[in-house]
Amino acid sequence: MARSSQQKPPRRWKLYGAWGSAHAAMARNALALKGVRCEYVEEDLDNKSDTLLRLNPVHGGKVPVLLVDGQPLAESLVIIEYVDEAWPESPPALLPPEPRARAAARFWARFFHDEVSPLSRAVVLADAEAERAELAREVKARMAVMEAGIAEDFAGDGEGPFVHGRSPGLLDVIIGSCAVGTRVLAAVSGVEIVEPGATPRVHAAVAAFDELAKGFGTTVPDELLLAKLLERKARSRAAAA
Amino acid sequence: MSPPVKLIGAFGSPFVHRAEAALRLKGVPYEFINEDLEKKSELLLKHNPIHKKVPVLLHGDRTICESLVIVEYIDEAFDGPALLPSDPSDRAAARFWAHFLDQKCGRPLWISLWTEGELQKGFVKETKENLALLEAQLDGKKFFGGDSVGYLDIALSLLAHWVGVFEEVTGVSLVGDEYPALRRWAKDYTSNEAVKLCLPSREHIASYATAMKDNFKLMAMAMLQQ
Repeated sequence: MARSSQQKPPRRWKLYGAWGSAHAAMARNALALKGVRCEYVEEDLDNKSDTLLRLNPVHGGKVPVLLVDGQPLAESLVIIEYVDEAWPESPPALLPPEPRARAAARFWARFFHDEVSPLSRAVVLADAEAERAELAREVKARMAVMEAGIAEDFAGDGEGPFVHGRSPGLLDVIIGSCAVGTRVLAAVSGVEIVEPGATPRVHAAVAAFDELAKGFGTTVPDELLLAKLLERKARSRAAAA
Repeated sequence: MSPPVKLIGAFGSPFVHRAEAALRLKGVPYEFINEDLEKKSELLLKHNPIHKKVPVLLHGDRTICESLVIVEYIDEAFDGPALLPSDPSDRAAARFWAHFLDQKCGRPLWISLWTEGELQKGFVKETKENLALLEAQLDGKKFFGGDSVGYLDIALSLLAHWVGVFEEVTGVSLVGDEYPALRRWAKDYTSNEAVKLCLPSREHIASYATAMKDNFKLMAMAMLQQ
């Protein structure tokens, strides 16, 4: 891989995020893990600033956006990899060094992003309790697929508690930043999508990362997030009616 | 010596092309295993049980799935010209725009091509806005990667080759004269020595699209419901 040792780290950076946004938390957590002190702008997703609307060239108003020397970077996965590559001297390495392991990390990151996240949102938005439970069971099934995949692709030497070993990596940042989300899903659906029995490695990684993230100031209380999501849902139902 | 490389693909697929283009540009010899997507082989189902899709790269005992993950793997596992730029911001931009094509452009593009009338209009407008963003990204460069073909050019190859053929088959014009940089880029990409070797002919794509017209229209209608 072409990786120049003469790269200079960026001079100025600023992260736009929003309270309760798991994807924004992923970006914040990645920066915090690397020890990067980052100016943070808290956006209200129900009342977005003009700056934010302009910044994301494609999805105006979506968070996170990382402004690097004035240039906006969007998409949580893109931002996390960027952070890993822009501060290569700062441990932990979020992507493993070996190409096959890197490919596995990227595969499962996309799997979570494409197959799990959207379905999780659907759980909260579903009106009927039975529908929420059904959707949550589907999310749980996908997490089981991810668990099996991780067990195969990150067998390593059995070191934990993180997916990537003793230090957190890309997948830990991603699933770990959704810790509160998993608890919210359990509250609205009655289904534990991550649990020690069915998904031991994922469960251990999420718990360990959640603990770590307490020091980053990025975790939000379960009840407050649940209340916020339900409030937003009610508002959008009212607007659609 | 590096273990053997095999690519499970389907002739004509733009996603499979991404993997092949990366292999060709890196100068990596490989065996192409063609799949009948109507009747998937044990080999494919064994190596991609989750998505059951092509392309799948087999490198010795390693299996890599997902076209863009494969392209990055090829870039990292083999010597040869770098496909991703070296600067982290440029790498991030390349990944962002590749993601943009797959996640944001794909649906409106498909609906624009395979529906008609009022339904179609809004999606054509959206597609043209998306194309304008990509036109701006070229910004005077020959390729999205700079002077030579790179990751983003490969990721956007659908626009360089397949879309033009679909436009002919459907009579829908999308990449018009208002995108001079994209049109020039498409010619440069498709005439690249390494890329040429793994591009299905326009005739092949056209006859496939014509045969699949009704299916494609159904797919577009289904996308509308999403």
